[in-house]
Amino acid sequence: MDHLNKPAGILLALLALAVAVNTMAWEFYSSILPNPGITWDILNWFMAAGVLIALACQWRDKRRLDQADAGRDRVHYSYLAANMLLFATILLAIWFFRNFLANLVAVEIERHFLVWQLVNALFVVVLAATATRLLRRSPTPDAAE
Amino acid sequence: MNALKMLFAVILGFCAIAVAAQYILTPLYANLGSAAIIVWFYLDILMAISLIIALAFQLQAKRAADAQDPDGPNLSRARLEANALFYATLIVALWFFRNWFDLLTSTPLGNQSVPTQVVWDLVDGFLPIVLGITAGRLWRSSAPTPDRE
Repeated sequence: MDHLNKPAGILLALLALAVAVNTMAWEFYSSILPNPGITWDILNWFMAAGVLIALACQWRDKRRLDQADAGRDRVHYSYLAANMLLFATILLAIWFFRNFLANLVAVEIERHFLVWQLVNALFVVVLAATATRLLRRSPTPDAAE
Repeated sequence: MNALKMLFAVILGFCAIAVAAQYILTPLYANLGSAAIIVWFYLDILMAISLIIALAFQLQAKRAADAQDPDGPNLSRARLEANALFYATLIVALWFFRNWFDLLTSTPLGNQSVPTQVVWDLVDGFLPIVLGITAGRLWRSSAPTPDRE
């Protein structure tokens, strides 16, 4: 599974970048384009895949860490990072899939706009952090030899 | 005591899954009149009970973890987890009970302000996480270990 770290890391990094750019740029082009929401309608499908990939990677990392740390009670950086990222991604998944479903069935609720702002910011942070961890851990050519 | 812990773990686990599922799937039947608010009305009662159970066990765990090394320089994992979980659940409980009492006094039922509805989004996002973790910890602590046999 570790050989998938690099492609998954690149994919998540690109998604984080796309969402960050679109979140900021949308305010500029939303008044120009006739149907500006279409960019989010397309991007949401990729975001859904990104959230699921991030969840799978973080679940795997936490299980590995728990197995390696069995019996230890020390707090260290990897332990904090693995736990915080996993729980932040679960929160992101709950908020994201709720709003995504509401968009799909065209339910317009006033506060959804605010939750999308939370989702977009959390998405960029969580996926960028996950991508960085995956890319750092991807096997190098030297290690593979 | 172990059977009771197991029972509470099942209740908290069920509540965490039910809230997450209901929150995500609500848009699918939002057009069916007051169906969503009725489900939330009954689920809120379970959420209130679950939060009280969770807070009681977390306070117990926090006090036990704090007592082991009150002023020690090293932060143990058990102490960090117990404190973080307790305070996170306390915040969720404060948000929840304020919003719940507001819901119960709203006329017609469910007619709440937008800021209150936003706080529901926060509650429904965080509650499955804190209750899910507490359920897992309760379940593990209720399982018989070889030493006890």
